[in-house]
Amino acid sequence: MDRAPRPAVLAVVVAREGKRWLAEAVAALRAQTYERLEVVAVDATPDGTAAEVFHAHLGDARVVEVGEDLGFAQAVEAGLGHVMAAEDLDLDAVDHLLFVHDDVALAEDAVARLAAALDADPRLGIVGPKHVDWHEPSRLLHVGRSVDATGRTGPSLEPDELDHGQRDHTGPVLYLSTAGMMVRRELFETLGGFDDRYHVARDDLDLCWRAWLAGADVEVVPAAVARHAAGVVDEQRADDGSEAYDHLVERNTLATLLKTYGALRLAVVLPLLAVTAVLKLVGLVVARRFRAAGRLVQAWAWNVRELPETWRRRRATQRRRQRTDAELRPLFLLLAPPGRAWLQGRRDRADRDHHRDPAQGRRALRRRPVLVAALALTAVLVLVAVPLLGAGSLRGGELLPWPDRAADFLAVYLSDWHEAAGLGTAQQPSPAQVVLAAHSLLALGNDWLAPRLLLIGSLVLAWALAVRAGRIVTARPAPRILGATLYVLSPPLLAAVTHGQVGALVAAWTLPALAVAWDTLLRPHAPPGRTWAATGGAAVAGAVLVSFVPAAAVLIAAATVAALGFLAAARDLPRRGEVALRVLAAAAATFALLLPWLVDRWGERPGLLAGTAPVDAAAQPLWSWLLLDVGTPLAPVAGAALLVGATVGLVVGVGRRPRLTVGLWGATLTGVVAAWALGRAGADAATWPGVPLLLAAGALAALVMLAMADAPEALSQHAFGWRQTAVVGALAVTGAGAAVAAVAVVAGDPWAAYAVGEPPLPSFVTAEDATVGDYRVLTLAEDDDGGVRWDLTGEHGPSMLTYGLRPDAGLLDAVGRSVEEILAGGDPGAASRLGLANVRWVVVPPGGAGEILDAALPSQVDLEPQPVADGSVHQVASWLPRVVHVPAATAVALQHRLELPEDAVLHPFRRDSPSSYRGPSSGAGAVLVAEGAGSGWEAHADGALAPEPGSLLLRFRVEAAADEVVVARRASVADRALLGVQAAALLAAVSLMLRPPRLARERELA
Amino acid sequence: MRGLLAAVALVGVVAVAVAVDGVIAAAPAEPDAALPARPAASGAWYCAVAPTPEEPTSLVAVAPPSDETAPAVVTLDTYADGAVRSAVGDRLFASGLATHTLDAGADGITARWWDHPAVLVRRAAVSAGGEGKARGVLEGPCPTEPAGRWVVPGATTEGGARASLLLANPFEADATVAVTLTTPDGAVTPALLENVVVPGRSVHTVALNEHAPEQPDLGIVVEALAGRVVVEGVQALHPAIGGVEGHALLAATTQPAATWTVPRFVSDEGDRASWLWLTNPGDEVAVVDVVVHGPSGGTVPPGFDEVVLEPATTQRLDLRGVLADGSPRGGVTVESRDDAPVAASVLTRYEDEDRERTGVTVQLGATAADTSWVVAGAVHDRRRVELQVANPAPAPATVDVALRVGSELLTPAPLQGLEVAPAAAGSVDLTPHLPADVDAYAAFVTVRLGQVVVGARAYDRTGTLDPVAGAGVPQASWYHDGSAPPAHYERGLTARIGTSQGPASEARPDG
Repeated sequence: MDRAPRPAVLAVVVAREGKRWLAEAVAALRAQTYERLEVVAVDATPDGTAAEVFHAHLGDARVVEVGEDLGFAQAVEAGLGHVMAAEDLDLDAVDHLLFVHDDVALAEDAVARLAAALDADPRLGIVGPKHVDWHEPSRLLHVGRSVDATGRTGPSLEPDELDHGQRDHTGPVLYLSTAGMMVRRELFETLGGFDDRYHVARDDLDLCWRAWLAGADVEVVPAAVARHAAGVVDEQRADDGSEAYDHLVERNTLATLLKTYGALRLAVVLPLLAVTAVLKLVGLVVARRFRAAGRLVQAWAWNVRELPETWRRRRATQRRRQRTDAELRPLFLLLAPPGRAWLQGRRDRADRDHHRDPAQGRRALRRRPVLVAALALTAVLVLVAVPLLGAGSLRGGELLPWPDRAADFLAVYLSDWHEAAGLGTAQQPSPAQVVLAAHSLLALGNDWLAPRLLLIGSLVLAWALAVRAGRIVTARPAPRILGATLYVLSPPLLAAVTHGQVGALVAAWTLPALAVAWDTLLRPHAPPGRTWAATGGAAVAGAVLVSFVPAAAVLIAAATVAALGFLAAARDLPRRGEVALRVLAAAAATFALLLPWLVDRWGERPGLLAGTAPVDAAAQPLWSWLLLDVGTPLAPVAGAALLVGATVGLVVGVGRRPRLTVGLWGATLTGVVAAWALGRAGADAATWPGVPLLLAAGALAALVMLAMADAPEALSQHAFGWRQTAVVGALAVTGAGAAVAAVAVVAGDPWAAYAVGEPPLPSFVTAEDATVGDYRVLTLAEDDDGGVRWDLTGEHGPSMLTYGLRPDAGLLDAVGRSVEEILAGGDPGAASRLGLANVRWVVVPPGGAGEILDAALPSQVDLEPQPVADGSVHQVASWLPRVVHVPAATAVALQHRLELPEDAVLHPFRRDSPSSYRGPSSGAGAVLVAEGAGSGWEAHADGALAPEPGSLLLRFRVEAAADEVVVARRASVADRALLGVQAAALLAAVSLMLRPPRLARERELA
Repeated sequence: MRGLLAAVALVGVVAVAVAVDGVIAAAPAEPDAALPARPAASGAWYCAVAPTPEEPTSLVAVAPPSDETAPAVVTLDTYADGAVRSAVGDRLFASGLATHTLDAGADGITARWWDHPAVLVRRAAVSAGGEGKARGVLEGPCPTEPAGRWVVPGATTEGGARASLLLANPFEADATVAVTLTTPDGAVTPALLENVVVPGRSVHTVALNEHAPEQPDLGIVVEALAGRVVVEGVQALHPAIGGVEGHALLAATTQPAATWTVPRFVSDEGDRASWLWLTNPGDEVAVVDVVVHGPSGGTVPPGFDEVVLEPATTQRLDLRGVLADGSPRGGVTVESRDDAPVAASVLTRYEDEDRERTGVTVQLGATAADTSWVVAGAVHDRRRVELQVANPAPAPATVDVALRVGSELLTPAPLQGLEVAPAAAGSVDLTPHLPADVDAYAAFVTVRLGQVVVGARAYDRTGTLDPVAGAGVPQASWYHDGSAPPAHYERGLTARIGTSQGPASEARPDG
């Protein structure tokens, strides 16, 4: 029986540059064992340099010189056109087309094996070889390729994976590289060839995908081997930068997806792609990679521009469709590259775990002690915090009920008018609002998770950053872990978490973060990427710290001055100027990030450095602060234990590392003295004394690290004796003291300062906003000192949205005076002034009642008591809405007596936004705004209404009836501009963290 | 060695710092300066009007003398059946004394004053009904504030006596109260009085005879379960039994106290007799000492020391013949040991063969002596007015009395520099010093030395007796002494409710 003639193969070699590999590539073709192979070469180099090689190996007849880089698809078309025009070669007689790059050398039997594969299986439409490295043929490059649902490729091989035949079982793949790809000619023509708009990149994916859809299989033939220099991808070509290639990848991938996906899947993938592109664009802009960002935009713009043509090609592709998207699903990668890497890592670990012996657990502990300790700490914290994990809102200390949406924080921050503790204010809120928004986003916007994550997460984060900061002292993990644990278990940090001191919790992790950042940015020899990232990090961490603890601005300023002083003194320090630049940049960016708030608070009472939350401070003797006594059980024991360990650090370290040792003790004493001063200032200090004690605790913990790290070497110089015994004993006392105090805290009632799932105010007090509009709630409670404490909230009760906002001092004073008058008992109409200030409810919580309030409140004419089970609730009878129009007679009466007449006619205004109200004016009278005078509110009817002086209310005279009066408060242009500067500073800081400035990059390259 | 030296140096520095801190902490703090007293900015009076008034109720409004020259501005509102009936807005009392006659049909009165204090006294003539013309007069100052708790120290429903409780709600919202009756044997809470609804702007009357008939000694404790009320009572004696006919206002107190002084009782005056009602509204036993004040001093009569008042009980102490010097009249002070709060009042029966010359008065005590008092009331040519002054202190007191009649302020010489011996009580007849053609009077008692408790008694010298005896209005009612508990703004207090950092988890003791 006669054998069928072997199929004719036409190889099209395209040289776009490739002088370095072309000769060998063409030679490899010439050396093929397959007899029915014809070769046509296309020189697409602009200078025609490849033609020489082609002519030398193939003769003049088979060489096409196009004289420019047309792109792979058009070069192939040029080659095939040449064949069609050739007299000695009939394209119709060609069975298969073989595409060869200028940097691919096929093994001598590769064509034969590829052709044999196509010959053997009619289902196959496209086949391709296994690609190995040009220089190291034992290293695999790829054995077929695939993408995920969004068209992103990922490594299908291990890095530098060697070829032991382990991939030779590979069969069907989504696509093959065009370098060495063999395709049936008829199929190629049916598919319309390559998309000639692609130039390079993804033309292979596009062709193969369409082949699959048309019913042809694509398969790798591992027995056929190609050495590949992978010139484009590896940026080895002189004229191709990675950004240009990335642009083509982005552009062509999108075009391919638009053509190949069915309508349903496209409807899902396209929005996903758009979101990803936006995020990528933001990331590129933030990293100051503006050129890449521009190319990304161009890629999308190209697709928009080419949409008609893409649509035409899509219709052709879909007309040929013989397979559904679901049928092709096994060919795709399941996850995006990062997800795949993570999943693969898990699989690998699972495999290792499956085969591990018991000793491996101990080895894991030795290998990853920090991770193991972090997990253990987290588990313990979650266990201890179980009482806080109940359903409902969590509140206590500075932690107020969390809002439903993370965006509310940003809305408050950007608003023209802010609700601060029930009283509005035009003052710029603390940037803490932005941090809380970010935290809320991190907690998926969940109002249950966010506050709990803040409490527990802050401790874990503080521990992790303390471990990292410990590298300043020692690289050994054990001392760092122990020191960080001592820090987390120190009394001020435990007090912060058990008393809900949000500012202190933030300080607990920003302080070690600042230590890490400043230590790095001060290093002259560290890589610029790290040092400038640390500069950005120092700015962000500093701004976060100051926004929660304003007094920490002193710390930042002091660190800046000290660093600059050190640099000025250290004349022989290399790169002193650049280090100084980083120091200044960190400090400047820190304060730029706080700009609007900082400007607002400058010169305000009670001072720039005052906190935003109440302070529970008491004057204590200095020695108790030295023992870190902040009121937690056995705090002095823990403090004394830390002091013992730190003293060992002093003894061991002062001779070996004097600067570090003295610095840490200086920080300790500074923190203690600051706490002492704040304690003496009492409530006026407005900063919790535990905050500076955190600095002291951190420094003491670092000294213990120092003792553990340096003691072995220091003691090794002496024979075993009292020194070793004393040091070991002291360190044991340190650990035991801290542990005992921590256990005492946990064994007590650590969460007594919190309430879970219990609203602070009766529901009928907080549920009226829909019916009566905005109002305020006054809380009164007697204290043990014979006084009365009071607080104001908005109609919804306390909310974390008011964190970092300070109420208008004028209106606060007015309400305070009314409260004092009520308590004095000399004026039964005093409560009516509360009503004028928009206070609708007066609440005395259970436990807050006593002789004073029992005597004072019932005498108030305007306080109507409501039936409640515990405590007392009074409604203010003559309550005035937030913004209201009153007739002239009522306005006069109000002016005269500061009491609302019983027959007063009120026309409340409707709220459009927190900074805008509108309503009709029925005639002459006044529009009253229950906000402080000088708060910047304006009223407009036909024109601007004139404000009238008033001791309590903001008043606007209305001369005649008007359909609509608008009362609004608008932020000034300067405020807006400062917000813009702040946003720019944030971008700059984050950008520095992602990419060092050009100056540093150039120096690194040099 | 270097390390040890550093450690020693550090310890030395810290020790010096701690020592310096100790010295600083030992420095004495400056005491807070006391604030001056000043008139209150505004005030209010709430009166319940007795049911079935035979004559229109009249109000006497008095502006007490002070250094302030601004006139008092007073508004009057009357209400009944849930609505404000009439209002007198912004009436100026520059002259210092004015009488206003209310329209008929008002249940209650609310008076507010601004700028300058004003004292309000109401007078109502009521009929006791029954055969013949039985009548009485209710007169006395109105309460100055609504409250959630009231105590009437004594009443009686025995022997034809009728007692009524007036629950006035001058506000718009309804109030609900629980009424507890205290007897010598303990508390009684009739089911019908556990939840008594007092509609807004109305006065609800409780006939106590229906709930506690034939009780010789009855205290009344009113607790507001919702809203606020003003509580007063009316004691009526029917002539059919015992031969005494009359009405008396039962004043209530919002603040039971450890010390009470009633400036007048009758010890031995023919057919007239007084007794002291003591009510312990609290949950603990109160042990009280009773001191009676005669013209020359005070004594503790036999059996009047360590009088034990069980919780929620009311006791009667007969005051006949208790004055050691044989004086017919005197004052009485009750002092509770251990500061257990009680309430006290004195009932005086005026018996006579002529029924028209009988009557009854009930005088609530005062909880504290003061330096300035106002008494006021209606007067006519047959009326005798006595000022009663008791000095419960162990030091002598000296007082000056000024009389306001119309727009005129009189300072009769005999009424200046009146001396009251330590722990003594006495009375001054004001009638000779009052012009014959006036219908109202006010007396201002200014204490030069010491502190006293002042009351007033009035009766008709001919015809019907119509006795009234009421407590004076102390300066504390319209004056602010400058003291006020400190108020601190504490941000986040609301959020800490129910936590260890918030208000105490257990209620503080009530006053």
